[in-house]
Amino acid sequence: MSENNVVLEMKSITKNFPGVKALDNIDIKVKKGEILGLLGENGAGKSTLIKILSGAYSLEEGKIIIDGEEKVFKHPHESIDEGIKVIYQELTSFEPLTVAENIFAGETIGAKGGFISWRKMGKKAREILDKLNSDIDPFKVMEKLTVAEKQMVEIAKAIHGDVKILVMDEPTSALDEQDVDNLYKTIRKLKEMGVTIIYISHRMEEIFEITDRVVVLRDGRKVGDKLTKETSRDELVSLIVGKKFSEQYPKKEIEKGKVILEVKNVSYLNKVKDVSFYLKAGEIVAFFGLLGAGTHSLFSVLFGDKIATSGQVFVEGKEIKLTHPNIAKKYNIGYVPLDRKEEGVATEMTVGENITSANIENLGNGFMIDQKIEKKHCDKWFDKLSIKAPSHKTMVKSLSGGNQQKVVVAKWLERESKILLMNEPTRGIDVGSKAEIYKIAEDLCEKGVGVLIVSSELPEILAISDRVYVMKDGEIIGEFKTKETNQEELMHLAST
Amino acid sequence: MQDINTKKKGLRLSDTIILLIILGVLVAFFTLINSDFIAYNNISTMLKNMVLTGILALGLTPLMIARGLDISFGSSISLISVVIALLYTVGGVNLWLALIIGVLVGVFVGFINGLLIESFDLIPIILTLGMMAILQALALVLANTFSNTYSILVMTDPLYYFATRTFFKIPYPVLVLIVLVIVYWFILAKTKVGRTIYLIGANPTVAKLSGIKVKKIKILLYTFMGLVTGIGGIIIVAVSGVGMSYHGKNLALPTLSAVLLGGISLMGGSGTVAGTMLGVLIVTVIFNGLSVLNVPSYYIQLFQGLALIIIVAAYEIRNNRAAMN
Repeated sequence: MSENNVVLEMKSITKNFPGVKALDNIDIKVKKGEILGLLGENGAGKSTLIKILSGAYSLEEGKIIIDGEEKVFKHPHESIDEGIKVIYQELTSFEPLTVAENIFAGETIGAKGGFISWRKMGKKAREILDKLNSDIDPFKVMEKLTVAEKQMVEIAKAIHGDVKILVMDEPTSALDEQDVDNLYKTIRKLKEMGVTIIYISHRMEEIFEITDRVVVLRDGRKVGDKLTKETSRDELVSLIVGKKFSEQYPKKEIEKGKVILEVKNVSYLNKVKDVSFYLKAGEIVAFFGLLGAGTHSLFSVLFGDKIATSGQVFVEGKEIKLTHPNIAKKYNIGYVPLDRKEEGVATEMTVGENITSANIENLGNGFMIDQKIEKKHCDKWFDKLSIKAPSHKTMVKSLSGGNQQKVVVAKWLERESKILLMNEPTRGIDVGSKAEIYKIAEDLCEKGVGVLIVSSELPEILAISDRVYVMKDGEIIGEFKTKETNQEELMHLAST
Repeated sequence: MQDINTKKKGLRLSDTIILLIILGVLVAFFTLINSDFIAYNNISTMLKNMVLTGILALGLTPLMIARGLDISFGSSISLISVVIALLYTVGGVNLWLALIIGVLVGVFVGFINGLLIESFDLIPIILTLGMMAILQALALVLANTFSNTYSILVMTDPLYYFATRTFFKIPYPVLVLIVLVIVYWFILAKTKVGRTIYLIGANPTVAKLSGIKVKKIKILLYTFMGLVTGIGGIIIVAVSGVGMSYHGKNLALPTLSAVLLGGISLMGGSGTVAGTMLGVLIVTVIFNGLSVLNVPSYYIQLFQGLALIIIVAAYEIRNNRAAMN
């Protein structure tokens, strides 16, 4: 690699979060016009690296060198001024505004004396979209566009102005195959224009289709840096997962009991459609689906947070009306929600108060809370789940993500839940805690608990579940015994 | 990993000390300027003045910890005092029955506030602002229709005794406040209900997903705010000897100032009964001190407004600093 056309160099980047080393001494060089694939599992450090590059996180150790000059970004604005633009997985458009307004977000094109010239703005937007071979109407309102079109607008927004480096975070996660092909065309066009692209994806076929070079991250370290044409799919997979997931978390054979949860024809608005399935005691059943498949809504319904529009739910053969989480709790259903900080823990309260939050009524006889009983309950889970915190009076906000997640799990174990719903239970937590969460789930199964999991990580699903349901557009479109399926089959079904 | 991580609920130890110092400085200041300030008579007046603010602030404490808010209590007190006075004087109803009906008016208003806010997810300050106007108008209409005046005399022995006599040197109204302080402190600090209230305030979504009936409990808290407003209504009739359609007009500002000064946040989750009572003491001392110094009442009102802004700003600035570190 000749030094003079290196557009971006990241040198010995290290980033620590409380309890987790998110990035450890990462070195990456990218050439002008290169398409670099950035690979790694959730939690490998991809997002953290990108957030440092974009100035969303502060750089603590290491250097960012752009065109040979060292830069320090204190705010995303400063990286944008340097021509670094990021298109995040969750698109961040202003929905009620027009395409043109989104492209120029905040700028007033052709403004004279405080008036905006819509005509000029539209014309300029048209020019940019033409460059991308897109025929989106600049005056259309954002919320009326498809996901693929919105993404195109984001790209247009990024290339308007001076863009040197465009980062795309899982750009295909919500696209169908036709749209993905279009996206490839656009990316190649950008490459011709001399734009450097950092392309983050989980999907192997995309990496081989579009990138020139791949960097693989695992547990915050760079474990591979290969030219795409010189590597193979198998090599990349083994770099990504390190030890094979199933070797890392060997599944125990646990005897299954009776059906403890049966769901019949449940629908919720247009998000969950006519879903039927069952769960046995001692079983881990996973739900897999892409963004918008309805898995999250299904779990909200099963916990009574949202009320099903039709259908029946039976717990141990008895039909229950899930009108409030209160009812779910009464029938020993526990829920580890998706968004830990907003739904899982009350960060401004103590570990103890969180652990007992679903079980306040049992903290002593009568009206009063018995401090001794509360401490006893907490200590039990501290030991069993090895929650790392100074005491049960520590504020939850000072714990690492993994330990916060254990607090949420403890809250439902404290309730002696028979059915545990876990929505992305290992999202954003470090590898060590992940393994512990899997172990906890397995131990629960041995005690006759049934566990339902929603996960977007297929290796996780394949390693820990007994059965998998694949969802798409709110419907269950496939049921598999985990042993008899594989990653490709599940992904293919979910995405086509 | 200690102090800041383990201490919580708004009133940290250092906060208590700061509030106590403010209180001490204020008392010393007013005493230096006018030694009458700490005379028995003035202290007794101060305590009586404090009762109403204190009772209302107590009602607001759990409500605001759970992210609720009520600013209609002033008008509600006006209405309650008018209802009691009219029932007793014009209606000839038995005094005790009149008082009970008065309290029930308060309870009903609180319940309606809670029911509307929680059923339709309304913003509490807007709903209770509307309620405030409605109740004020009702008080005026009732007073004008049934007695042609906005101030109706209620002369009875029991209320007079209640307002003027003491129990072991403690005036009865002050005794009511003390009892309520103990009850509220006990509930918030020691009971399961108290813990539930803090959990709702800290994060309503987490509370709901812990199986807590958040809306039901909040409606209950609004209803209890109505109950203490009713008790406040009786006390104001007893102490002043009249039911009047403007009785509660100037209560909202000092009460809210006291609560916020005591460490309750508009964002919920924080606050204690001790903090609230310190806030009430400070606010009472400031305004009583100013009137002892013969500061004209319009200036006092100016100070009240200023104080509220300063209190809220001070907490906000400090929280922002804490967040930055």
